[in-house]
Amino acid sequence: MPETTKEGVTRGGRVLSRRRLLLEGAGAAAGFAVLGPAIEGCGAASKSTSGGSSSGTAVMENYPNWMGSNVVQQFERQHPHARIKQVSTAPTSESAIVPLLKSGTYDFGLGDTTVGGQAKEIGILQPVDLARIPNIKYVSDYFRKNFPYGIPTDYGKVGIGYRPDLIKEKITSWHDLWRLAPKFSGKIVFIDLDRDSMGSALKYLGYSTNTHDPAQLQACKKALLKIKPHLQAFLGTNVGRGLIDGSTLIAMDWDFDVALNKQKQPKIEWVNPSEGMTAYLEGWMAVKGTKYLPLIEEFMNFALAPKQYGSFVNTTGSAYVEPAARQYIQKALATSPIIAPDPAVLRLVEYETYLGNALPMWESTWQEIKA
Amino acid sequence: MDGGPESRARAAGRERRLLSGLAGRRRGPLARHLLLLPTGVWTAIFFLGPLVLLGLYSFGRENLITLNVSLNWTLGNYQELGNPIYRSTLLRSLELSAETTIACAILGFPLAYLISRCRGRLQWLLLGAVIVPFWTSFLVRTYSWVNILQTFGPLDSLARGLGLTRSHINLLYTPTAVGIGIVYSYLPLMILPIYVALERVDDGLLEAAADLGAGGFRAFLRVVLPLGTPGLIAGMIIVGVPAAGEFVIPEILGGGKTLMIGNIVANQFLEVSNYPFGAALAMSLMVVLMIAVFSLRRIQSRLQI
Amino acid sequence: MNLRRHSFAVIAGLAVLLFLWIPLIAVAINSFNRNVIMTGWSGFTTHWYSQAFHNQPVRAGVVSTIIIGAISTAASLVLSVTAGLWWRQASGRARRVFDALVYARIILPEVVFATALFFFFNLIHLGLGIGAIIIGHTVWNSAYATLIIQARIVGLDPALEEAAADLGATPWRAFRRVTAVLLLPGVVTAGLLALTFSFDDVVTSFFMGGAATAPLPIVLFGLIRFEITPEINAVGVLFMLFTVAMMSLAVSSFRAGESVVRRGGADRLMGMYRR
Repeated sequence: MPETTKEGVTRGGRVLSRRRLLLEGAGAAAGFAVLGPAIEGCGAASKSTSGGSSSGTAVMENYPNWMGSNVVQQFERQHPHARIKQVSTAPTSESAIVPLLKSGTYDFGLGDTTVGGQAKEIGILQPVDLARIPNIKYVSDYFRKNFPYGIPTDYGKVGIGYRPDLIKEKITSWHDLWRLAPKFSGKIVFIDLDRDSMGSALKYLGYSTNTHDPAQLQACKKALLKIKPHLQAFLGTNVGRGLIDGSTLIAMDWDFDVALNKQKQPKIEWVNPSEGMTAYLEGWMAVKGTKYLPLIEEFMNFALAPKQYGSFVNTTGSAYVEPAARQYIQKALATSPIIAPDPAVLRLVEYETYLGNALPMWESTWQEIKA
Repeated sequence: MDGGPESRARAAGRERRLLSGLAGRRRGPLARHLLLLPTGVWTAIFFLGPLVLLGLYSFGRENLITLNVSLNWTLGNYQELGNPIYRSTLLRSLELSAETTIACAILGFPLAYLISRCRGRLQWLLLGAVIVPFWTSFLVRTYSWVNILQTFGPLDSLARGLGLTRSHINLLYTPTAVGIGIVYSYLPLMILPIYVALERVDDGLLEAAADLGAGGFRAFLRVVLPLGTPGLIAGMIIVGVPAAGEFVIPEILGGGKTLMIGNIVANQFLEVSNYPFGAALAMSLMVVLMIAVFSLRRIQSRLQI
Repeated sequence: MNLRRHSFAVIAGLAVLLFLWIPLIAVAINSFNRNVIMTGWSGFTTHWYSQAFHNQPVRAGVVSTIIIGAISTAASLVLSVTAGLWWRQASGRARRVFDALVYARIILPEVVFATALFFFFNLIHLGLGIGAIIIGHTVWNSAYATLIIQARIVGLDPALEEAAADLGATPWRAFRRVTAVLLLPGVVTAGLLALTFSFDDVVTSFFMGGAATAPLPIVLFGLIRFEITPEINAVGVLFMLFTVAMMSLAVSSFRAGESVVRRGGADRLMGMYRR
């Protein structure tokens, strides 16, 4: 049944998670727009200097509905000469966002830490002047530190959701999951994404989720192949859905997904594994060459005001980065410990960074695991 | 005009020209090829153009960090294909395709034959009945199978209710589920071509066969099957080729546990953004499937009456 | 139709037909299911239908999908019929080249073709949107249509057209009254297939649609990624009903002009000729 939020019934009534939108298969980067990776010599139409105008239309690359309802309208009302045009692209992976930003069609966009890292490395990232974004003060230092590419907006950590009532065991760590796998063979679900699954396996082994070490990746592959025969499926969307009726007993899943399903089935429990969790941290970043930098910075500032940010959380249901916004977040989400920014939990979290030259190695390892 | 021998000869000549013109055997060269123009132009621009571009990409190199593609005229991408993982994945996909194609042929032939024996309204109705379920959109149908096959789902309840099984069924996320999904999705693609070919099998032929002593199965083998084969071959191609590249259904119904060649190809273009390698992979896949298809066509041309 | 002679076909055929309808029945039933996760029945509701109906992207998606499907199918039929007629009297070598190109269009994985077409459009500075989607769909739809029509053309007896010529028909009249009529089952079937392919297509539509256009499968894709609810089923049922309604309209207006049972006409002709 649709949930009512402070803004009324949300679209489809459910949480829209950006992470869920990363789906294998038929999705594509619709906003590839003008020039994808151009053959060298044909030249990408890149602008090389950033301009400073606070009136005009700034084009934003975004996921569908990944914005507080009315935030854009209210901003435009307050700033009569400014327009924000959102282009919902829904690319299938973070790495598909970089070509979008590179194409020069967008002034700013949503991307996670890996996108920011790559954008910075290839020189298309436009740093924003935080002095002009005073509302950044509402965002915890912790997130600001981890997202130096623009402003952070949300994150998602990969932990465990399970049904203690059905399996009569307690899970507190990845070790528990791997240990119990043979016992509950066929009822365990993992995430169908390399960073999340491999990252969690690396945590299980005590390594960093951003490792470039081939030996560690091989160990990671072995661990995943060891548990693979016991897996019910690798799922990219609606990962923990089976927990509701018990067709899945244990799931490696994102915090918001477990929180969402817990609302339907209170017997689901969330675990922050003791070895640590891999997570994505995403936010808005500006593209080099944009002519609307002040406009973008004003919009970022506007969106970070606790009331507006609360609206964002209500629409997306995602783990949030502003404790001060809690008063504006609907009760079900605000009181959930699963997505609250608890420092003790956050100590266990490691954010994914751009892998750079280690990318091909990660990709082939993941391919070998899936094959 | 007078009806003298000269004018009659002229009339006969005109008739002959009409005849060959109709049968298309000796039209003027321009007129003959005029028919090819629409398809030719369209294919040249919107298929060959992109294909050539793809070929160029396959000899290029991409900097995976900056995502710049440069035309290096390198064979590196093709060399990468030597990795055994591609061969085994390809074989797996071809195997799945072969199995599902045969299943479709077996399941589809009787229905196609049935429809071809019906007349008028009934024929339209049956054709409609075959197609209409497929107007609910692919994703809706496939996820419906997820719902049907899942534990605690309708099939589960039915099987337990009928006493066929004591424990819950575990059909979802198995190769069987994938097989069911693919056979289901491709069945109309097999039924329709076979129907088209069988439709011209006159009932009179079957009656004649019966009169001559060949009933039932023999008539089927000697009359129906040969006449329906062009349709069967067309169906096998229309089903088998896309099924080999299928990856969405194995993902949704198979739980993403087995990698298909289609996954690898799609990944290169959608996630990894490694276009040169993806292009090389695609070109190689095309060659393999072309060989398979042309072998089938050889059979078809030999069977042509 | 002799039921006894065809008893096996009747039983087997109807069983398969039932199999084809199972998911549709499940979709329809669940579209009224109060239970969001659709395991088990929780009561009847039309809530999902009202939600689907009020969903603006869904409505827009239905319209654009139907337009794209109709135009692309029409174009594909034109391409495949003309090409099929050419193929009939083409030389062996020409046929082989032509066939290779037909198969190539089917063999090339759609995601590859869509990407290549996208880059190609960029290269020649052609815009994306509904027109681009239609172009992309027609490339492979015409290939499938050609294969089906070829299966029909292969069995076309030129004697019938010769008979028409003998009886004084002009080439165009012979085409209209004999050839087209004999090809009709193939054309209709090819059309149905092409239409279905177009309606279902996600990949080409996504690449060639640009940011502004979202045909129905893409809208559904987004809905599914958010959460799988009975609203998706409702959308599927609504779209199917809408399409059936439109097809019925088209068929009845077509039948108002012409008689459907074509074989009768050709048979009569054949009978006259043979005697």
